[in-house]
Amino acid sequence: MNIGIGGRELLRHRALGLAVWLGSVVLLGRAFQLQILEGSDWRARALAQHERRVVLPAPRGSLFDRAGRPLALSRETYAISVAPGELRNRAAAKAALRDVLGLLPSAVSKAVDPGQRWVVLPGRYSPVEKERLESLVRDGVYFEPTLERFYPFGELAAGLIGRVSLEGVGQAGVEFAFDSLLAGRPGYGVRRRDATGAAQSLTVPAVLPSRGNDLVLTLDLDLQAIAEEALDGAIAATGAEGGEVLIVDPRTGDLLAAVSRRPGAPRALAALSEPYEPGSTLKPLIAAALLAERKASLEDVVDTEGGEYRLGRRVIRDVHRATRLTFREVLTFSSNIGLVKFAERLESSALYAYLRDFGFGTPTGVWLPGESPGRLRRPAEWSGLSQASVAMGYEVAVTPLQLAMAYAAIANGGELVRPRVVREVRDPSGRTLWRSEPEVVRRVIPERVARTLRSVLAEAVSEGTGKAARVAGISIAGKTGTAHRFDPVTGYAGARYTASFVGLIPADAPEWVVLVKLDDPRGAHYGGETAAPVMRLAVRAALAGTGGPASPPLGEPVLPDAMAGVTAGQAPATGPYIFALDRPLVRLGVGARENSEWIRVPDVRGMSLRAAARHLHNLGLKVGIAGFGRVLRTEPEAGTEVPRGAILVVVAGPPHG
Amino acid sequence: MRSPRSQPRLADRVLVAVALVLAVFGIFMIYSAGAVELPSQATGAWRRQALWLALSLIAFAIAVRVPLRWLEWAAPALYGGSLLLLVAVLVVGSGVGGRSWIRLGSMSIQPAEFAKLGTVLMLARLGAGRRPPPEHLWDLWPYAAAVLVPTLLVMAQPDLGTATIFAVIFLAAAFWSGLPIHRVVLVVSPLVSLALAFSTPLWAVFFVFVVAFVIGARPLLSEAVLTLAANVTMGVVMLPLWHSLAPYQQARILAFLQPEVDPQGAGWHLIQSRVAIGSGGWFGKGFGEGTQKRLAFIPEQHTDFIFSVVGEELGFLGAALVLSAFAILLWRVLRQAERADDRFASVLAFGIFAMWFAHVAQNVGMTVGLTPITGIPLPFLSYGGSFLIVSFLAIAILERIALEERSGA
Repeated sequence: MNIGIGGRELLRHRALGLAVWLGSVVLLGRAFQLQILEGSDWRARALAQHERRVVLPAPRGSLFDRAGRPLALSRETYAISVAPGELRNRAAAKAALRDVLGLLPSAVSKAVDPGQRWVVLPGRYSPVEKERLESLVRDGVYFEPTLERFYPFGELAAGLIGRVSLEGVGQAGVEFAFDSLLAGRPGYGVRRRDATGAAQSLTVPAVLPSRGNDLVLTLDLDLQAIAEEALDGAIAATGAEGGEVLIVDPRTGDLLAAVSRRPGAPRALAALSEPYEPGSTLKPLIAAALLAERKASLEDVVDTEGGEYRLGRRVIRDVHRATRLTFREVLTFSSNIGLVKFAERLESSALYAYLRDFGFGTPTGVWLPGESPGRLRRPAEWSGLSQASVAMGYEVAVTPLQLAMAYAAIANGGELVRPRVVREVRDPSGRTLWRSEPEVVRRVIPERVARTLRSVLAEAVSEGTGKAARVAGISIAGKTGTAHRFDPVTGYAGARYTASFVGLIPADAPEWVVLVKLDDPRGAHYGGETAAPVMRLAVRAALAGTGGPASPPLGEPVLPDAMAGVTAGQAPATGPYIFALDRPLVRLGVGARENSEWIRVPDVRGMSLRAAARHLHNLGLKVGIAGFGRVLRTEPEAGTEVPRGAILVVVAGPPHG
Repeated sequence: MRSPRSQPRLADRVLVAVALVLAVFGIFMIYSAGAVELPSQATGAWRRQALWLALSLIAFAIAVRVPLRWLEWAAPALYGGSLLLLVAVLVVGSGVGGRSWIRLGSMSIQPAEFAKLGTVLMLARLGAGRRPPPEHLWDLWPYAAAVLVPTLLVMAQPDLGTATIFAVIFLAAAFWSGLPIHRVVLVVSPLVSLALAFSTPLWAVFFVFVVAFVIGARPLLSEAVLTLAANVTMGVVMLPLWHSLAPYQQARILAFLQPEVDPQGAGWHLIQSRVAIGSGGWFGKGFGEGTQKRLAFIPEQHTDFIFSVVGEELGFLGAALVLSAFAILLWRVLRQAERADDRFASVLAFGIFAMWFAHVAQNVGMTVGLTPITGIPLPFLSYGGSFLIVSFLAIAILERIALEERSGA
């Protein structure tokens, strides 16, 4: 029995059916609206909620020296944080933090303190340390990868290489100048986040970062180390304020070593940013103009007035008092009076033109930041005494690099070349993208004048003011310089000098131009007494280490073979900071002589890298360095006989390797 | 034909099959709801739900053997028992933001779910007892009393959502007992007033209509006065009532009204459910693959918001299939209510229909953002043992009705 089937009840039933229908249609319609009509909006919203774009930093390209030794690498390091509340085994975590990361007991107890929610451990850790820690402590330890710029040789060549900011942007030197090539292109990945905001996983990167390009510099790390040692030693010995050493290959313009020291600015490469008055080191360039213009010959004689010559209101003095000197002797003994008198034979415009052609007053165009053009005034701005001043190396300001390049023109037969710091640019796969070619800016003097000058400069070293630069077994040409330093307050009155020496090695066919400059040395201040010995020290060490100035043949790039197959971030089994070598470890040095002697490898274990390298250099070995810290071992081992000039790999590491 | 008492066979296979399919499907979806990226209480819940389903089937097998007459006779006792449970839960119950659970060892039951069925049974008994159908509003007082007691008890927990289900059950009983349609309108009107009281001008417009309807329908004067008074009271009483709500209830209602205002706060559930369903598209993200679910953006994803998981992972197709299954289920139940010769059976079936209809409409409506969030589970799909058992007991009753109908008992 039903509650009647009357019209009223029929309506009631119909209403019910309608309600079910309506309900279904409304709900389905709404689902259709959300899922189909608005589906893409909701999907976008869902993605926006749980996906976050994460920038994947691009590893910066590496820097290598001309022999392929790594100067700057990008490596992956980890910042480690601990959530003490999540640690399962506090004691084990404590032991792991102490043993693997070498944390101090106080830092360890703070890291596992249950009262702390999140502890960021000090320092950055290597992938090897990360893996070891991960294997020991599974929960409560968090790793955040970061790319870190790493300089395997520490402060060596820091002025030239420059540094990067914390954000990985080049700040100075090569790092700054070639930042766009080195930087690479960052990619991005997608990180999923859950409703609590915690990151869940890093999915496959959406756009892979592309690594920056590698640069092979012209720098020779051995020479650089020697130059820095010699300069630091000289500064310590003479009490100089600072100074520089530049070593340039005059044939190619390659910058082989470059170091500047300034009080309070250990990394500034002042050698190209700070002009100074070169003094006597400018004289050979004046002589070059005279010889090129045929205004004088080496045998011309001049009255040097017994060492005192009044010119207008000024009195010009010579250290080596003489009455008559030949032009050759004027240069050998650096006679101011003689050179001033010879310089009078030149039109001031010609004098200016030669100095300009030697590159003064214009930047050399080296691809490094902060280069100064120096100061070379036009003859119209000269006073009556300017001609004489310029002849003695005053009233003109040059950078050490400009002066080195001017000497390089004498060394290479008369051509001004552009200094270069980069030999090659390589893409991440190792393919050479660009190879630098030596670039001649202009011919400044004829070949014969250059040859003549070299012989004169060789005499200056063997007989004259540069005797202190002599090195047995190799002929050296060069010129000393001692310039009063101009002080903005006292003028030239103070007893402050710039002592310098520019040498060409070997004198007959120079392969190196070495410039040494010391600012305000105490006591002995003559270039011949202070700067020349620095060069001798440097050249001696360099000869011992490399077997003489020997550059690879032009046009044939030196493969960075010591580093072949090694990329930043790939840590071989030996440890995080040690670079694998896939070449035979004992290799004849580039310049090894045929009748080379054999040397027994000394035991340098436990020594600092620097001391070990110096010791080995002195024995005539080349040094390849792997890692940093204390020397762990050498390859080959101590006691092995190796040929002179062989490369010895010094493996160093942290004390608790 | 065999005696239904000795060897009951399924009389409504469609009904039982749909219920079983939904329940098994529910276990799969609860399993998926637990497959997430971070620790969740949903993980492993499918095993407990499977156990509950086994218990439900046992309960079904027992209940389907109980003759309707016994049920009618025992209805007041069952109703009374469920009320006792509701009182008990207020004393010894536990739960989040209220007392709604009674722990029994490792399991816990929700007395409110049993009270729904108990109340439906009581209303059916009351309906069966009144030979002439109620003519006036005053004739509804036994129904009102029977519903009011459990309603007040669940509101004390507090559980506003379940209270609204009781209200729906009352309206359904009034409607199905034969109350004239225009008087049903009079009963419903105060509820509409309640809903509209948020906006006084809107309510005023509605009230004018109510007055016009009352004049046109010519009820008893007392009925007219009662109706108008109830409507005014709902409008006036609204604010104090609003302030008596628990903060989370206020937040949920506000969130429903304006979900975009504070998406991280009160509107979070509402938005996230729509994001999940909407991002499902035509075919969904695949079983177990819902990102919003995996990353725990969907709230209470194995209980109240299981339909959001369905929508996200199985898309519009899955949502439509689930809704179709419910439509078939409800249609079968309604058919029984209409066909039953027995007045008790008819009101019983209709009460069950109303209960499930309210649950499905309210739950799915909530997940797609059409109705407020009230914490009402989706029958057969949502995780929860008490409601699953109650639902299968209801299926058993419906099956018994069909059985006795067919055997002509």
